[in-house]
Amino acid sequence: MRRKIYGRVMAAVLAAALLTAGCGSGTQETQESGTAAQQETGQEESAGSKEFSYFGAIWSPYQETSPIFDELMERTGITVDFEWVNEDGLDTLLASKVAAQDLPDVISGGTKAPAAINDLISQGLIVPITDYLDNELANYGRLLTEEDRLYLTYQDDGEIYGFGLVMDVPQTFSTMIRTDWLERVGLDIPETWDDWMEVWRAFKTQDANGNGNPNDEVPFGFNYDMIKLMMNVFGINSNGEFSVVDGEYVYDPEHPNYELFLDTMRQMYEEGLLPQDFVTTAGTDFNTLGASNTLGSLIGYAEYAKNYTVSCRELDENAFYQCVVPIQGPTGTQSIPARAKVTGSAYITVAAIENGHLQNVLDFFNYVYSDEGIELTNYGMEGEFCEMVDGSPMIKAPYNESFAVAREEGLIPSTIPFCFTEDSYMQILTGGLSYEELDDAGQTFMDGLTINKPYYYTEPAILQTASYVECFDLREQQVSLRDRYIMGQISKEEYSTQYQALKDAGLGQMIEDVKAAYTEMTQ
Amino acid sequence: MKRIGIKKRQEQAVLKQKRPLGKRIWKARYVYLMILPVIVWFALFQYWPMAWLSISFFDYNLYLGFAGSKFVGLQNFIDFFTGLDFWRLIRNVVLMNLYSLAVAFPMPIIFALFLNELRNQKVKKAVQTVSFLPHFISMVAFVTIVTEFLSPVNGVMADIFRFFGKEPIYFLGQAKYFRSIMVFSGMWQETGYNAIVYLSAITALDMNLYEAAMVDGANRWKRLIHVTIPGIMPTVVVMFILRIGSLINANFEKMYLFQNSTNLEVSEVIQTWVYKRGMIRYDYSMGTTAGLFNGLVALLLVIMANRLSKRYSDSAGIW
Repeated sequence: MRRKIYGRVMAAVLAAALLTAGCGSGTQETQESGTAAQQETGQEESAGSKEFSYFGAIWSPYQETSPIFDELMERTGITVDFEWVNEDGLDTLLASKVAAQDLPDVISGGTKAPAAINDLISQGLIVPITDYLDNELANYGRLLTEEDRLYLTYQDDGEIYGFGLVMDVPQTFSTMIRTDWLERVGLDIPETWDDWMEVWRAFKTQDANGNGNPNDEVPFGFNYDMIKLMMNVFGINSNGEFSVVDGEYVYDPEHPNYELFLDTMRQMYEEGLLPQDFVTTAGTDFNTLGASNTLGSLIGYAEYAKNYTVSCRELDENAFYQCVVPIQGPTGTQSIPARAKVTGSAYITVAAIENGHLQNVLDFFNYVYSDEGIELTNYGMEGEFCEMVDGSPMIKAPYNESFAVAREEGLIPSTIPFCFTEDSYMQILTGGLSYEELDDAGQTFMDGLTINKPYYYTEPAILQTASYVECFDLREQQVSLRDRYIMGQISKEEYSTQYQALKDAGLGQMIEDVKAAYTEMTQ
Repeated sequence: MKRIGIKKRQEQAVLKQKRPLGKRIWKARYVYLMILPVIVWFALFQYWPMAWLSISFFDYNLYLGFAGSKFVGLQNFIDFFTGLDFWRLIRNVVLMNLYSLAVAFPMPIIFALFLNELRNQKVKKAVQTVSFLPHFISMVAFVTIVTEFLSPVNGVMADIFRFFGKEPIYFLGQAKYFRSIMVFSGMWQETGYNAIVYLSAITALDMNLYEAAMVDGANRWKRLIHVTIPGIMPTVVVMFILRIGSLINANFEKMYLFQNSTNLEVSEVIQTWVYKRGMIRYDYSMGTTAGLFNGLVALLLVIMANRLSKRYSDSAGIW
């Protein structure tokens, strides 16, 4: 009998425990909702308080809170309820929020737009800011040229939706080559395409890094995510997918030089002049390659010259990546993309209107883009982050020692829209030192910022028409074809047949649509 | 305790059946109470969400919901079936699973039989533990380990190739290796863990059968063939049915993480396609359409496999 009672008690306890566990999250949610409701009520009670919610991506070394954000909120009198999410998880979490009808007032993809922003726009969930650029967001509007406005325009309705980082800083891409390797193989800095091929072949066949192993050199590399830098060598001034040829907006695979690009890349890959795993060499993998003392030359951010030189010197004290002018391609062209000045990364949602927060959002960011706001976000508060020298703010140590330190402390907050100035960029870049005071790695980095100026081109905007958005999987498959052809996995006939199949499946229509959109836009 | 004969028990069972349902439930109320959370969980998280499958009949606007979305009937299904991707997705997932079924499915059975034959308990436990461990590695870490292992630049496989004077192969950069990488890495990760169910089936076998076989002069090999394997066959059949049911399901996380531009042709499956459509492009209608199709085919496959198992084996199947 006693055993039976114990059994019943145990069963009841177990069932109660399971029920409690199962309902745990729901209870928590209810409590949170309650708290949120209480807060809302509290805010309603404190008359005059302004607020809005901001959902955005965050990445290292940025922190979720910073004295700069606090100061911005204090100066504007607007409280921002920040909700940060790791970059990788942003799109998934945003989808959940939209589905749960829990839209924040502002969403931001960090340095780029959230992946599905066009779908949100087409569903009417994003507020156009075109009409505010000359009034409520006038401080942002003043920073935009006509070209910038075109770049930001959404093609389907001609409205501007996104605002974000304004980069008033020098262009930063460059070509770099190991001069110590050149000495070892007895060659000079290459100038023509044939020179470059000769150098790469020498790097490949000789023990250019002098470690006794003639087979570990990778003559030339680029971050796979920036393969457009390689297209430039062949005269394709692409934004990653499209370029403008004789005033016409052309999908890269349709560019007259694309076949030359493909064939030459295939030949280079076959000869081992490119990394064998170049399709997966991006981000940190590329940095690992650059720091491994096995990479002979590259195209990428000019700062790589400094970073990789420093890293490689731990293995070879003579290592030196020198920034040089862009590679002269087989067609004799030389070009390198200028970094986009504006990026549409933040968007105001219809929730801001529904919540009555639209004016708060506009006021807050209008201040961020004002002269005071620009000074605050770039130099911080006087006395704490910077001091005035001859009427100009000078960032103090340690905040000017590296971008990482500055960002960790809240300066140059790319997690929200703001304007990054050339002056603060250079102050942090040089750590307050003059060119002469920099070491050779720092100097070549600085050189990279200047020697490429004559070769910069402005990337055309990606015209995100409805068919462009719809064809995302077909564009992905075209990239797959490109890479497989370069790697010698398919023949030219197979490439052509399969590419034609993609065009027939909708890519062809997209090509025509974006072409028409560009013509309409430029007219 | 009184011994009750079989006939008496059968009579009691018949009497029980005649009792009203309410009384029977009340009698077993504690058992029902214990199962209640599971029923609630299933109802809330497995059946209730099925109502949203109707998204596939709408051009669904996430924010406006059904009221603000246009009803499009079967248009999403037509678009999905006639799209360029449809047969490629089906081909990829079916070939991948058939490959896995042929190569990876028998491995836990063989491994369990092998473990069962080990006489040294310490070795047996050590092997068992080591073989379980990969199952508990997070998928991202697992994919990173495999990627590094197969790297043509600094991977272990590259070193082995170089040691034998061969040029390293870029395994992850060639579509033809993708399925093998998926299947064999899956074997490394799951063989030990999946062997648990077969090990437990083996330990449940009647020892008298082994003793009888020994009396009849059966050696270890013959006992394995004539006692152990037939004994675990019902378990094997049930596991096989479950695998058949997931013939068009793929390990989404793993497929997605291993996917790159050169293997896209074989690595794109319904699950990765649904993810890209739904979570990246917010095209929930098309994503749900593909998911619904996937679920229906999986259901048909399970029913088919269950019937086949009942027809061609002594097993009673799953239901």
